[in-house]
Amino acid sequence: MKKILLAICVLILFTTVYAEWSKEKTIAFLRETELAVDPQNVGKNIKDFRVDMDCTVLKLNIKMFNSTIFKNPDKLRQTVEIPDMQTIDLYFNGEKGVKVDSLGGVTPLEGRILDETKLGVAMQNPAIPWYNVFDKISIADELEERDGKKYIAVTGSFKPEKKLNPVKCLIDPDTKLTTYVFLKNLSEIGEFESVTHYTQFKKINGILMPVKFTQTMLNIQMEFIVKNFAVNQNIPDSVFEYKE
Amino acid sequence: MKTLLLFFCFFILFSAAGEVQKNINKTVFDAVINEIAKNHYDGKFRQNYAQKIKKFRQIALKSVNNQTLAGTINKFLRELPDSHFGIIPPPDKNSAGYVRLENSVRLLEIDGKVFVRSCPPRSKFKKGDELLSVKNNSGDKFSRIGRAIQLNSLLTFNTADEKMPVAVRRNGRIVKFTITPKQAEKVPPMFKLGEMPPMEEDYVSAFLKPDTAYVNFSVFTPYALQSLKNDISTKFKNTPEMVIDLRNNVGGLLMIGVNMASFLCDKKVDFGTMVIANQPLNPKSYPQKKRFKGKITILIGRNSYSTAEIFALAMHEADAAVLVGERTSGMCLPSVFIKMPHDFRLQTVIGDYRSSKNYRIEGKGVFPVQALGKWENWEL
Repeated sequence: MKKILLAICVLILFTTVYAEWSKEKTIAFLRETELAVDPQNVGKNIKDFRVDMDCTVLKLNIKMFNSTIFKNPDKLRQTVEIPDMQTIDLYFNGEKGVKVDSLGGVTPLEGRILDETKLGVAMQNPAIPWYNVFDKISIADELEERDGKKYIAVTGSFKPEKKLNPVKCLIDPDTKLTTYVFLKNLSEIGEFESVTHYTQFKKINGILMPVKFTQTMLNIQMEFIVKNFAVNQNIPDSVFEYKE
Repeated sequence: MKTLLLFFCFFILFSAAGEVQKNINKTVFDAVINEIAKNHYDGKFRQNYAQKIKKFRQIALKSVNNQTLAGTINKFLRELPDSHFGIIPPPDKNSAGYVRLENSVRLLEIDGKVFVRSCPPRSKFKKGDELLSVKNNSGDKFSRIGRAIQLNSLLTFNTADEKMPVAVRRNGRIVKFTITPKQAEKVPPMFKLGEMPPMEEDYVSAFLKPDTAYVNFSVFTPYALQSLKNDISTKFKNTPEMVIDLRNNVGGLLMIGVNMASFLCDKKVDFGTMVIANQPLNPKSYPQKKRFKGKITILIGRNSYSTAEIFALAMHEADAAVLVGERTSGMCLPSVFIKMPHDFRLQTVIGDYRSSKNYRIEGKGVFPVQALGKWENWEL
C-alpha cells in the first residue's frame, strides 16, 4: 500500500532538495504531481483509511487478499491472506512492530526492517507529501524511457547513516501521475528489487487513486486490484496493537 | 465421386487438425525454452544447450498429440543436468482416468529395496515384505525418483476395480498375488496452490518409546506444520527426544521447513542462500516460545527430496539435529509451476541453492552422520 500512496502527493514544503533540476523547478513540478492526484487537498482531512485488494501471482495463478489499515500519523496494520493456507498480519503502533504468521509464529520487527517499516508508514500518510520522508530529491535532466514511453525520473534518497535504500519513481510528463516505482525491499530473507507499475487510476473521495497495478520481483509478477477503499472510519488504536 | 468427396473432406479435416497440433507443438516448446531461460540461474542456458534444444525441437514439432509432445519435452528436460524440471500436459479427455484408490500400505526404501513398513491386518501384504513389482512394474532403478515413490504411485493412483498383479519377497521366497483396489471413499487432504499439481498430505505421529516421539510426513505443507505444532504443544510437550522421519518426503514449500525449525530449535537456523534473479535470499528461522525442547534425530534416505534435504542439512549445520540413515536424492533446486500456453504446466528451476556452509546439495545429496542402526527395525 505504501507504493499505492506514493501517488498521493500532498505538497507541504520539504526541507532539503538537491536536484539536477533547480530547486524552484523541482518544487513546482512536485506541486503539479500533487494537484494531479489531489486537486482539492482533501488528503489533509484523512484521519484513517482502509484499502482491500485482490492479488494474483500471474502465471503461478496464486490468489491472495491484502488489506491495509492506516491511522494518522503513524499506525499501520497490514494483512495478507492466502486462502486455506496462511495469513500474515503486520502490526505497527507507531513505535514497535510485530509480524504474526499463522504458520511461522510471531516475529518482532527489528533493526533495518523496523526502520523501513517506519518509512513505509510515513509514506502512507496522505496528510503529508510522500517526498517529505526523503532527505534528498533528485530529478534527472533527461527523460527515461520505459515500455516505449518517456517519463520524468524522480529519486528520493536518505542520509547514509539511515541505511535506507533510495526510491525511484517514473512520472508521466503528461498526466503527472506516478507510473513506475523502483525500490529495493528489505525483508527477513534479504533484499530484492521490485518494480511497481500503476496501470489504472480512479477518483475516490476526491483523490485519484491507483486501483490496478502490477509488482514484479524475483522474476515473479503480481497483479493488484483495489476492491474497497474507505476513509475516516474512526479505527481504534487497538487494531494496531498485537496481543498474545 | 461421392466417395472421393468424402475422402477429400476427411483429408481437409485431418490436415487442419494436424496444423492445429503443429501450432501447439511450436508454441508450447518455444514457450518452455523461453521460460526456462528466463528463470534459470545459468544466464547462458540457451547457448549451452543450443544443440539439444534444436534436436528436441525438431522431434517435438512432429508430435501427434499433447501427450507425445509432453513426453518429448520431458525427455529433453531429463537430459538437463538439474532436477526440478517437468511439463504436465492438459488432461487427456480420452484417457480412462486414474482415481485415488484405497491404499493403506506404507512403503519404505532402504538400500534400493522397497519394504512394506505397515499395512492393515487383513491385507494380502505383510509387514516386512520386500515389494518387487506392481502390475509387473518394478520401478525404474535409474530414475531420479525413488522406487518406493514410483511403486506407491501405482498402488495409489490407478483405475478402480482393476486386478493388479503384485510380487513380493517374503521370508526369502517370491510370493505373487492379485489385489483389486477400490476407489477411495474418502480422499485424504490435498494441498493445492496455484498451478502446482495437488499433493496428498499426510502426517503420522506416535511414541516409539515413552521418551521418544516420532513424526513422519511426506510433504512440507501447512498441514504437516500445523500438525507438528499441535503435537509439540500437547502430547510431545515434555518428551526428551523426537525422531523426524523424512525418508519418504518429496519436499514442498521451503518456508514450511523454515517455520518448522522455529518450533524445533532454540536458536535461529540458517537455511543457506537461494539466488533467484541474481538476488541472494537467506531464510532463517525465528525461535518461538512454544517450541520442542528435546533432542532431535532426522531420518533421511534416497527418497528425501528438495525441501526435506534443505531442512535436514540446515538443522544439522545448526547443530540442532543428528542425521541418520542414507544419502538423500540430491534433487534440490528452487522451482515453481507456471501456466503455459494450451493448458500445459511447467515446473522450472528459478534459482540455485547452497547451504549455510556453502554446500550445494543438487546432484550430491545430504549425507547422514550415522547409519540407521537402532532405527532400522523400529516399530510404531
